[in-house]
Amino acid sequence: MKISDGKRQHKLMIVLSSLRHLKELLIPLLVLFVSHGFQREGSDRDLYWRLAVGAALVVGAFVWGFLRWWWFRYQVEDGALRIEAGVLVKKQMSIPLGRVQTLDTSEGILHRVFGLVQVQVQTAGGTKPEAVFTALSRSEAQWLERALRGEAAVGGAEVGAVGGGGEAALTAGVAYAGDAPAAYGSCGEGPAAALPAGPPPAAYAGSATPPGAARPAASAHAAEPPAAAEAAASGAPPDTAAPGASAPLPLGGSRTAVAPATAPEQEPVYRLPAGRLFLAGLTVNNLGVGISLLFAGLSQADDVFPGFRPFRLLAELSGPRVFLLLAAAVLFFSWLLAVGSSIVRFAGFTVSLHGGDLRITRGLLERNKVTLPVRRIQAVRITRELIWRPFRLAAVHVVCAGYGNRQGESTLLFPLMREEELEPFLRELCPEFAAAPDQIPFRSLPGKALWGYMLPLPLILAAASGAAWWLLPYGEWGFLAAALAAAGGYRSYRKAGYAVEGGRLSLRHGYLTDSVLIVPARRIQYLTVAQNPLQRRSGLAALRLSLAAGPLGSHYRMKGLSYSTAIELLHGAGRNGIPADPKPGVRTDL
Amino acid sequence: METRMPVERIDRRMIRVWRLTAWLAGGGLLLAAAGLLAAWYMWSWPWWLGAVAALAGVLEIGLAGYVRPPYMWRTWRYEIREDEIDLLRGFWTVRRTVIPMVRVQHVDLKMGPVMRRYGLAGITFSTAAGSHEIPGLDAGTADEVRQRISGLARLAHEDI
Repeated sequence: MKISDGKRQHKLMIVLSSLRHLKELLIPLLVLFVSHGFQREGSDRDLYWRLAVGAALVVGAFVWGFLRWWWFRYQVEDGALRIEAGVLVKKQMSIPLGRVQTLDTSEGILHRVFGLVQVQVQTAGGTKPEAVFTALSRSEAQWLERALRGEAAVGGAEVGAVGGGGEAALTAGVAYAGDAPAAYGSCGEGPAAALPAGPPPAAYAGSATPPGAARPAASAHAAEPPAAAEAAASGAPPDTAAPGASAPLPLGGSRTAVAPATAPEQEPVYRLPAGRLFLAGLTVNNLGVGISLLFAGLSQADDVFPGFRPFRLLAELSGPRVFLLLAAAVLFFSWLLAVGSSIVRFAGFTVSLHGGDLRITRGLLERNKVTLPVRRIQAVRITRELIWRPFRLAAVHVVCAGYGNRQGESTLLFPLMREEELEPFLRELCPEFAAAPDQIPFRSLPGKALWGYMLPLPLILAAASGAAWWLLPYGEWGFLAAALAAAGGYRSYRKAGYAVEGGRLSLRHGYLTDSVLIVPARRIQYLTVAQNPLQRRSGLAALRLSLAAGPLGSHYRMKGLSYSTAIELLHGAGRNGIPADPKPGVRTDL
Repeated sequence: METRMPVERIDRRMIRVWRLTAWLAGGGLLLAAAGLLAAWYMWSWPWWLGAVAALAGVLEIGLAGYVRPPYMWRTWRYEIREDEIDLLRGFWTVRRTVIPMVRVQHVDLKMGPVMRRYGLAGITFSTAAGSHEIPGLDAGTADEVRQRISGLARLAHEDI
């Protein structure tokens, strides 16, 4: 079958890709208009000429966007996603369905106005998304997801049964077009509905309820009118209608395609209570960004309002009370910024388990949906920010193979939850990593390691402040910084620890942020033990753990282990930790 | 047995490979320095451009060509066991990496022009979290090692 019979994307793609081209043209356009253009008055022809060129560029961008839309065709047939695209250079792509690793959707503001989504398809090993659909209607996205993920229903059965597979897939897509927006809407409108509706602050709903109760709970949380759900269920095509009706969740249909109507076990859903948005953004990093933004703003204010002069004002005032007031103001403003950013990023944060995949949905203005296969999770990292500690709150990150573009990037699995909720949460979503950080039997480092943690940074700071003391006013404050660094070093020594239990290696670090990394031994790619001359003298070593994530792997280091411990661990990953045969049901597609 | 240090050494000729490589790189820098100094003489470019390039060339040849190679050769050790690859290297900071055989994805034999001149080859093997190299082996040994690793890795293979 010719791919030219394939489908095009939604027409809004023309606008979206044209806007993207315009953004790329922004600088040339600015140069065109600004470059000594309006200094010389009276040369009208010059101005017209510029306007003509500018208009040509804008029209060109839209024509180009139209052509890209026109030439982009896609189809799911013969067990592969096939794409033909390109205006001047034609590109044909065929991704076997089994190779599709993740399917992420996001919605910008324009997308949300028109009820569309952007979809990225990734395969293992790739650093870039293999295929990007700029604009698909929600129903179409849902169909695509079903076709790529639930091969059983669309890719396998239909294509297998009907010789002209593309035809069947195409009709399926048409059949879905009418009804699915309602079903998907429960996901897309999540933040708007969930924020005011506000699930009870104590808990996330729907995880421990019996199967019968799951559905009301699920629809209630997203404030989805029951009618919409009914419509979605009844309007679904015959082959998936029955399981679709029992699906308790938005997007449940795609899962039921994989495991049709077997056990009606409900899928766990965890949702971030709106109240916690006020704490979730309060990380040391965010506060740092807030403070620097604030100071940047103040120094600009000096230029904009010459009378204002905040810094000069500050220099004239002095005394501890003013200083405290100032510190409070700075903290307050950075708190506002941090809370604002966390609301934008985490509003409506939901994570749920569908079949073997974790689905993460988040974002206020731009909705992002990420799908992570549980079996590709390499490690779980639990972090506790300084500010969260009194509230006993923590965030959960996962390190996932073939995911993350930069080195050491990990994906946020949940922005903020109580520490006692961690263990049940992990047990339900990724049992391999289930642990309560407090219950892990961490062993602390030998006493000799203290100096390696406490000395280096404070010594450098002390030396620098010694010099600054002579040369600069207030240089002696550097010694305070050195003392603080020493205290921090002492704390991170006390917090550092490792544990080997249940076939897992866990590392605990602490400085401003405490973190616990949990790695099953069979996920460790390799270990490195390093010793510098000082460590050799005191029989210590640093251990480096390398995991499969991102193109260069991600690496975690712990210094100050005793050398013998480090060497013991060095061989452990390959020998003891790995089960004789891989778990049944693990797809081998890497 | 588990804590046994790796014993195999790399080929001694690797010292000469490193030295020649350093001469090539340093020679390039010295040529550039000569050009820059000529430019200083003729068009009065800043003199320190040439000086910096010359200094960099001399340092490259001295450190990377003469100081480092003997230590590197003396400290490099490797061992290929049935279930793991054990690498030990470094003079100042000594690093030992153990790669379980099940993690090895593929093995390459690498032979640059300088190494070919001396009949040497390097072995690169990659894991899902980056790759490692055993730098200088006799070409025959290298091929043996490559076949051994790929054979063992195939036996041990498992999904990550």
